[in-house]
Amino acid sequence: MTQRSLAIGNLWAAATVAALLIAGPVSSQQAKPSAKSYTPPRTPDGQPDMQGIWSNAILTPLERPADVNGKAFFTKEEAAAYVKRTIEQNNKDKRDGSGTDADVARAYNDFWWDRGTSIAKTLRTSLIVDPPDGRIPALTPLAQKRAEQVKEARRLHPADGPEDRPVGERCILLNSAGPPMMPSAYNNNYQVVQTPKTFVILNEMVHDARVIPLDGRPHVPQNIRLWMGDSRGHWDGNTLVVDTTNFTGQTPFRGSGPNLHLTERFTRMDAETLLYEFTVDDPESFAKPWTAAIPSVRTTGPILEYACNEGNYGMTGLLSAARSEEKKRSK
Amino acid sequence: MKTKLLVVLAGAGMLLAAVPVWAHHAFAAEFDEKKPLKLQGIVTKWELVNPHSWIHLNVKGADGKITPWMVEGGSPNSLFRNGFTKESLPEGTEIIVEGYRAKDGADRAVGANLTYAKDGKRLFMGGSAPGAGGDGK
Repeated sequence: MTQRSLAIGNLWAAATVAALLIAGPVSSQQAKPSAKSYTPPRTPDGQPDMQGIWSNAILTPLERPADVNGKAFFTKEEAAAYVKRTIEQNNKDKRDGSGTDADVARAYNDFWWDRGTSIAKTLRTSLIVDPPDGRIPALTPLAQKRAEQVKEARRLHPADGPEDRPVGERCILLNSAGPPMMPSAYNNNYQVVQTPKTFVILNEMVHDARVIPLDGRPHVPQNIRLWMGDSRGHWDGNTLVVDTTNFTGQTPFRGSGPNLHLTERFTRMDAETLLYEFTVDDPESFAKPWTAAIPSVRTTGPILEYACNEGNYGMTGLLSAARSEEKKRSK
Repeated sequence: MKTKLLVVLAGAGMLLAAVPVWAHHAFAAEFDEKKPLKLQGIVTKWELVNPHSWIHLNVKGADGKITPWMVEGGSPNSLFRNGFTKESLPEGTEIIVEGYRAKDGADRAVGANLTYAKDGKRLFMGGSAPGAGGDGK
């Protein structure tokens, strides 16, 4: 694990070198700032200060798209074309395809959404930096079976009660809040608050606060399982390393299971950038560990309340829809 | 003020290959793709709640009867961040909603396209708020 942690820490620097090698002549603004050359401000008790509000809205896809022919980095021209294409594809104001599920799913004008408008300055073609192919490693037979079981359960009991619906619809946890935190279609903001003994991440999506102890206490016993897992943080130089275990298995991340060991790393790159890296280590679910890196950008606040349960008319609406469908079928 | 309820038949629309981005919930579980509709009515309330905001409007039918409808929108957070407030859609505003009706047949819909009745412009676009970017085309 130590070796892997070191490797992650060096990925940013390695990526810069790789970008220079692969993309040929690279203008200076493409080169990433080096964490080594940046001395972060300190909190009064001496920790690297990461406090503030950060946005991880970014158009870089998690996995490398198939049509970039294995390239780890876009050229500037390719990047511009990709951004333009992605924004067009995501545009909710298109109203062709009326009367299709796709159009229903495309609900709401574009003004409700906030996906970001650019990719990472590195011009990486994927958020995944390891393995080198930028793709999530193969799921194990166990993880595939698990996914099929969930699918089958949903087919047989799509909406008998709230418990049959995904945890996001139940307002328990939205997948972008994680951990790991992922860019999503809106509410891509999180606030960091530090105390001498805790690192707190308040995520706008569902208004979750992760209170991460820094005092070296051990993880809770294995039989205690938590929606967001059990997180412990420690400093590795200017990087905060957060280890999370004890997941429930009900919040699978791209196929992960209850025994996922997630390692997140937060590093200030410059005054405006907080690099967020995470490694998914779950041998029960993936053929090998994998790592992604997301540059978060300082943004203005405040973080807005989400209060998902209070206004979740959608749950009664879709359960009512399911009853109505059943009635129709029984006629 | 002229209000009307139009239930528009679905045209032979082009099927899209685009993968829908998962939002808070699966729209197709709650709303019926076979019931596209177009409503014109007067805003009576705007519930700026999460995970979805709801616009209430009174729609006058062909028989003159007023029916209250509820129309689902997105999370208000992005709108707030772009400078819009509860006053941005005041009561009494006449709007047109194109969307899909609830599967259970209630007077509830998801609002796919929201425009002002007076000029056909999309709601919250082209205003003075920072971040409002033209007509979104």
